Amino acid sequence: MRLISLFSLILLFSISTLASTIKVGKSEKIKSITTAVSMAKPGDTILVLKGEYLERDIKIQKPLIITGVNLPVINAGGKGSIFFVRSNGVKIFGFRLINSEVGYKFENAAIRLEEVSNCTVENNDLYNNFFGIYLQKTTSIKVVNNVIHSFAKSETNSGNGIHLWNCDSIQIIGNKISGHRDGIYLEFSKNNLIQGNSAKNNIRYGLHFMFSDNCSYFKNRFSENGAGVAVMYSSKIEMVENLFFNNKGPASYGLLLKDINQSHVSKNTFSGNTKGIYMEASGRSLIEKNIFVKNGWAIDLMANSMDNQFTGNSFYSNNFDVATNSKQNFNTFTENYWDNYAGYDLNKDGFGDVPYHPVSLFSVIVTEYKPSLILMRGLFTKLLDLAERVFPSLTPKQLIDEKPVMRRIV
Amino acid sequence: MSDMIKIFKYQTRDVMRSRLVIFYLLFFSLFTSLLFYFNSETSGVIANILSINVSFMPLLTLLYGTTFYYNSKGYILFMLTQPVKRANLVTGIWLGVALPLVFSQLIGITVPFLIFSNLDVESLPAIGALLSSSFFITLIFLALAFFIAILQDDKAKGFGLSITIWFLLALLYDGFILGISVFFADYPLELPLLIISSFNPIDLARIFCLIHLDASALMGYTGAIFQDYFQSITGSVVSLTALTLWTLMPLSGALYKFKKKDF
Repeated sequence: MRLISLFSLILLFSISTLASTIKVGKSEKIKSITTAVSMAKPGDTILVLKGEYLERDIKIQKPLIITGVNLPVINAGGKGSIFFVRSNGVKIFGFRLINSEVGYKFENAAIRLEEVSNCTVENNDLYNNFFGIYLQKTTSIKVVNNVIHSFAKSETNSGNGIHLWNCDSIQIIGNKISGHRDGIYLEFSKNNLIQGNSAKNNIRYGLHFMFSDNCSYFKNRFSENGAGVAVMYSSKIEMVENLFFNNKGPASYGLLLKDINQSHVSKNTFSGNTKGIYMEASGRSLIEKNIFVKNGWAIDLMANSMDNQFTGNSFYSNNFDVATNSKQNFNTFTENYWDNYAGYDLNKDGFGDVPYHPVSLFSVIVTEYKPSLILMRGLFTKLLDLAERVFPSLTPKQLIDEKPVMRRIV
Repeated sequence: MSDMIKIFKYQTRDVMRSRLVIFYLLFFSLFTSLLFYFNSETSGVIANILSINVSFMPLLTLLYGTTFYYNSKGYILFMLTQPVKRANLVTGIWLGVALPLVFSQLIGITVPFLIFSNLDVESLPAIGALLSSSFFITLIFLALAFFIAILQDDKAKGFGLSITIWFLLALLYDGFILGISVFFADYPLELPLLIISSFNPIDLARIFCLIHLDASALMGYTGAIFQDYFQSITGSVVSLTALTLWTLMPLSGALYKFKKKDF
């Protein structure tokens, strides 16, 4: 017993000599975080006790661990930013950060990191900010388990929940983002991992990629965002086991792929979106083992997409399976399950003996003349589709699944 | 009024024994069960029954109604010698024929749903919409059938007229709507099309079901008007009101003609 207590004493002393801990609180000697930050030495820990602090633009220029105890509130009072990190190795835990300024000149954020690396932002609660977490030219940052909520009304005067610009190797894990412009926005950022986040009710995209290669996102949930998720102008993106749910509207998609190459969309679930996947000018990607259920259109495939392979997907209870804007098709559909498939399997190998045409005539008509949607499920449209299936003339002849699976895959 | 109820009771007992009621019951229960066997999604089953409701059921009801009227002509003439108001007679017969049919359908559809579907709260409105659409389609087309049969004493002409009306409402009308949406593609057409389609009971019933079915994901695509109509309570109220009006219109036409008719 004595030995252990002696050891711990020695340990405590050695820690305190290496890096001291500074306490900030209403009843402590130091009452302001800004003061604590300015007097701290590199490597110190600042413990901020419960209470509300009216502070803003706290500039951190040395490696510090700043920890909130029992969720202290830092209120910017509608002016400027809150934390501005300009040093490597800064860690920020457990704060409630509110009311940073909505600005048109400066992109104010609750936490802003600029030209730094190896920082961690974890377990914070960001409420009513312009930008939530803003990363600029940073590498190896962890953004983990933050709750980010704001009240964006229009795209022009709102910011993104997590904003990456020119970053590398960022991990964004387990955050919940709502009410911002884009939930997570990446521009010119490489090698990022986005996992287990939830983006809901953001007014533009739940997740927005621009020019960001080699990123992967797993097990995220994107629901009820203005226009779903947009992945643009990037290559080698891994999109696995995400849920795209209830993104509805005239220009809304579960997943929008524009100029995406050599990517992998696998094991995702697309449910209740106006369009499950909208694909434009994308190529050489593999779309496999996804579930498309209860979407308006499961896939809207523009003819300038080519060499994509759709295989092992399950399509059921969608209003339309596939829409396209051309009679030509340069993509492959094979071994998918289609609930509308009416063929037979005489040799019992599990694959239908006649190919399936996923583009129905009515789907072509509705794409061209939107209000005719009102005729859906009528006898007239049924007969039109039947006639077209027997004598295809308006629907693309090459867009077929040669080997449709007879039983649902997943 | 009491005359009407008496006639209604008698007629119900009479029709209950008829083959169509049993056929309806068997057909709908078998068909629905089969659909559940092939399709595990409740919404898919509903959509398939809906397509029967908006395609062949109107035709069947029209033909059955006109046949029924022509075959019961002797009975109707006999009843006219009794101190019964003409309006009560027709309404009594109409209800007496319609309600057994409606009930056999409702039971035929509902029982398989109770057995096979895991009744989640989400699909209840859709099932309700489906049942009310079959209810209204039967009432409306039976009234139309009576109207036709009262207008036309000639059986062949009556049947011809029924088939023509079915063809117009079930097929040509939709073609007409498609024509409008292609021809006036440059104009905002959502509201006009909603108005035009409410002049057709089949379209009304279909759209009423679409509101509660899976179509809401799709309706956002065309813009705000469809979305508002299809996702708010307004759409349901408007469709139900229009369907009720549609039931009363051919019925009052039939009553008017029947009162004036010289037998």
